[in-house]
Amino acid sequence: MKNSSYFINKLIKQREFALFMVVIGIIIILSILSPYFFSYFNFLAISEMDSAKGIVIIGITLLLITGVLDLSVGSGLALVGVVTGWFFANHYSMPIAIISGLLLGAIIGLINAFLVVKLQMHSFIATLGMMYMVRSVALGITSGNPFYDFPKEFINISKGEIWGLPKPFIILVIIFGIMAFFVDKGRFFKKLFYIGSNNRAANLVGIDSKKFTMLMYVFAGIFVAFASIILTSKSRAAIPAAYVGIEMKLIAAAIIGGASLNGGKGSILGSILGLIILILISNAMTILNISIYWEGVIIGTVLVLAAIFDELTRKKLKT
Amino acid sequence: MVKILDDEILLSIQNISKKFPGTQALDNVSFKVKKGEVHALVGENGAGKSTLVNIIAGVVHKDLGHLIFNGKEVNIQSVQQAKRVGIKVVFQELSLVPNLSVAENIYGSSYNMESIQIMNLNSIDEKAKDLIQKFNINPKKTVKELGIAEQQIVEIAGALVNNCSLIIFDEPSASLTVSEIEILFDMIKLLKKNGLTVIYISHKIEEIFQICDRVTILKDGKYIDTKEIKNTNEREIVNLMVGRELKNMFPERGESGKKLLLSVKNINGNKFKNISFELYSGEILGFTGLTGAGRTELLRAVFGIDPFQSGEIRIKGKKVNLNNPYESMKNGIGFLPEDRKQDGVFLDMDIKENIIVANLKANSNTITMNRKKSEKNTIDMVKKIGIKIGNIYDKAISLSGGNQQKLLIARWLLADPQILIVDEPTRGIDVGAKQEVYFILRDLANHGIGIIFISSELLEILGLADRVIAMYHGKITGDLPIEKITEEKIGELIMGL
Repeated sequence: MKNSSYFINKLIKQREFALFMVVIGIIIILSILSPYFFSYFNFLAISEMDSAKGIVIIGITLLLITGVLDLSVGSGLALVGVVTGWFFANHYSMPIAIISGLLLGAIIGLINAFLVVKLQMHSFIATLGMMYMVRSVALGITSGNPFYDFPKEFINISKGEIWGLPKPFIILVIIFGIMAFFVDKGRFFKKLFYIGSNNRAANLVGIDSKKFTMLMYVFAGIFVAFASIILTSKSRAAIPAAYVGIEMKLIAAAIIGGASLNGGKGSILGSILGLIILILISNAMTILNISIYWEGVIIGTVLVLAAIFDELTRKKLKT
Repeated sequence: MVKILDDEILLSIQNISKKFPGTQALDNVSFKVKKGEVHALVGENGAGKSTLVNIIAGVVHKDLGHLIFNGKEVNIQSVQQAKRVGIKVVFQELSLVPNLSVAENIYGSSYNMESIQIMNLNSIDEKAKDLIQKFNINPKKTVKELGIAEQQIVEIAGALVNNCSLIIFDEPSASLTVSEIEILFDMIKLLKKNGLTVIYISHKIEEIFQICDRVTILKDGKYIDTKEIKNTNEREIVNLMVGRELKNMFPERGESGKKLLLSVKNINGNKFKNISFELYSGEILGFTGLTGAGRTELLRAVFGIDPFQSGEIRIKGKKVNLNNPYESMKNGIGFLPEDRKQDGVFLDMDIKENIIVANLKANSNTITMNRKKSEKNTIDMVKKIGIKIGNIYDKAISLSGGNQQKLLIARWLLADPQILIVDEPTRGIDVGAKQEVYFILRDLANHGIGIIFISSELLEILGLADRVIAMYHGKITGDLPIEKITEEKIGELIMGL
C-alpha cells in the first residue's frame, strides 16, 4: 500500500491555483488592453464596494459546504441597510443602530434555519420565500424610498485607509484570512464537509447536522448584516431595492471556486477567487466599453465551464 | 463430465474478454447454458459476473469473443436488441416505472408499441396474465405500491410478453425477506415449467443449492469451473470461488468476560415493548428475528438515534441518558448501520476522512486537524483490519462492498469503543470478505469489546454468536447461550412460537 501522496488534496489546491492563474491572466490581458485598468484608482473603485461582497460569499460558501442554499442574501443586505437607516432617522445612537442591524441579520438567519432545519423545507424554496418576504418588508417600511441621512460617524466606519489600502478591503482580508484558515484546517468546520457529503451518516457518527446547519445560517445572516453596514456606510445610502440578484452571482462565484450544490465541497479561497474573476469581468467590460448587457454571456460561460471541469474530474476519480 | 449436445444449448459463451481502465474484468471466459435449466453464476466481488451479464444484456460491449444464442451468433449492441433476441435481465435496481400501473409497465416493456390501447387484464398476454393471477397482483395498482418481490414478478411478466427465452436474475434476493424469497423461487420454478432458461447470480450459496441445476464459478475475471449441483456441495463451490481452502468460515469462540458492560431494563419504544437484556465484555451477542421484528429499532434507540418512552440504560452500572449518537459515543458505544451506503460511508470523501470521523479529537490538535496523526491512525487501522486499498486518499466509493464494511469497522475501532453494535454487517458482501469480517469481530471481542450483532442469516448467528436473543413483533422471545440453540429453536423463536 503506497504511502500518502494526497494528490486529491492537491487537485483541490490545483483548482485554487488554476483560478489564481486565471485571475493573473485576466489582470495581465486587461492591463494590456487598457491603460486605465492597472491603476490604483481602479483598484480603489473596485475594492471599496466589492470587498463587502466577499464577506457575504464566505457565509454562502459555508452553507454550500453544508449542503444548503441561501437565496435571501440580497434582500437581507437591503433590509439591514434600511433598518439601520431607520434607527438613525429616529435618533438612536450609532452603537444601537449597528447592533440592531447585526441582530436583524442573525434573526433572518435564524428564520431561514428554522424553515430549513425544523420544518425540513428544501433550502431553495425556504430561502427563496425569505428572499421575497425580506425584500417586501424593506420596500414596505420605506415605501420604496431610499434613506440618505447618515451621520458622519457612521460614514467614517468605511472611510479611510489602513496601510494605504481601503478599510473595507482590509476588513475583508482579515475576515477572509481567519475563515479560510479555519475552514481548511479547523476541526469545527471539518464537520460541515461531512454533513454536506452524507447528512445521515454524519448524524450517526455524532455530528449534529441540525445544530450545525442552523448555526451556519445564523453565521451567514450576521455576515450579511456586517457587509450591509459597510456597504451602506460606503455608499451613504440605504436603498430598499438594491442588491437584487446578487445571491445568484455569489453562488455562481462559489461554484466556480469549487463548491458543489450537492454539498461536501468548497473553499473560502476558491470562492473569493471566483468572486474576483466575476468582478474583473464586470470591471473589464466597463473599462473596455462593452455593454453591460453582455455580462451574462460571459458569466454563464465561465459557470458552465467550471461545472464541466467538475464533472470531468469527478469521472476521473471514479475510474 | 457428461457431454452436452449442441441442440441442448441455449446460450454458448465463447472466449469473452472485456477490459476496463485499470482492470481486466473478463479474461477469455467460456461456458454453455442449457435450455430449460436454472444456471447459477457465482464469484466474489470483482469476479466478473456483473460485467458478463451486462454484456449479454447489451448494456456493455465485449472486446473479444462470441455469443451463440439458439445456434446463431448474436452481436448484442443494445438492451433493445437483447430483448428482441429474447434475453431479459432483472437487475437489482429494477427497471419499472413506479408511477405507472402494473398493466402499463408490462405493456410498456413490449417493443411492439402500437398495441398500447386498453390497459386492463384482458389485453395482457396470456402468459403474463397467468403469472400475475397466480401471485395475486392487481394489474391496476401502481408499481410503487407493490413490495419488491411483487415488482420482480411484474418485471418478469413484462419479459414474458416479449417471448423471452432467457431470463437473468442479478442478486434478486438481496432485499427480500424469507417469505418473499419463497415467492421468487416459486416464480422461477414456474418459468422453468414454461420452458424458459434462467441464469441466477447470487452471493447466497444456500439459495443456489435450493433452486439451481448447474453452477459456473468465476474468479478474477476468469472461468474456473462448471458443476452439476447434485454432484457438489457448498464448501467445494466456496473454495473454488475464493481460490483457497476456506477452512473455517467462523472463528473459534473466545472467553466471554465477566464484566457487565450494558444493561437495558424495560425499555419501550414504537416498535419494541418491555425490552431487557445485558451485554458482557468479550462476547458477541446475536440479535435475530424476521424483518420488522424490531431489532434495528431497538438498537437505534439504545444508541440514541431514536428516543424511547420508558425504561433505563446502564453502562458499567452507571445510569445514562443517551439522547443522541454523540452522547452514546462519549459513553463508548459505536454503531454500524444496516445500509452502509446511505448511512455509513461518505462516498465522495477519501478513506482517511472516512476512518477518522468517529474520533476527530484523536486526529487533531486543540483546534486544527493534524495531518500526521490522521495519516498514521488511518494507516494503522487499515493494516490492523486488513482493508485492501491503494492509497488512503482514494475516494471511499472506489472500494468494494466488503472493503467498505471493513472501513466502517476500522472507523469505529479508532473511536475505541467498549460496545459495538453492528447491524447486518455482511449484507451484500462476498463469501471471502464475510469470513474476514467474522474474524475481525471475534478479534475485537477477544480484546474485551462487547459486540451486539444483528443478523437475519441463521448460519451467521449460529456460527458467530456466544449468546442469542430472538425477537418477534417487538418482544424478546428468547435469550439463550449458544449451547442451547439449534436451527429449529431459532426458527421457532423468531416466529414467536
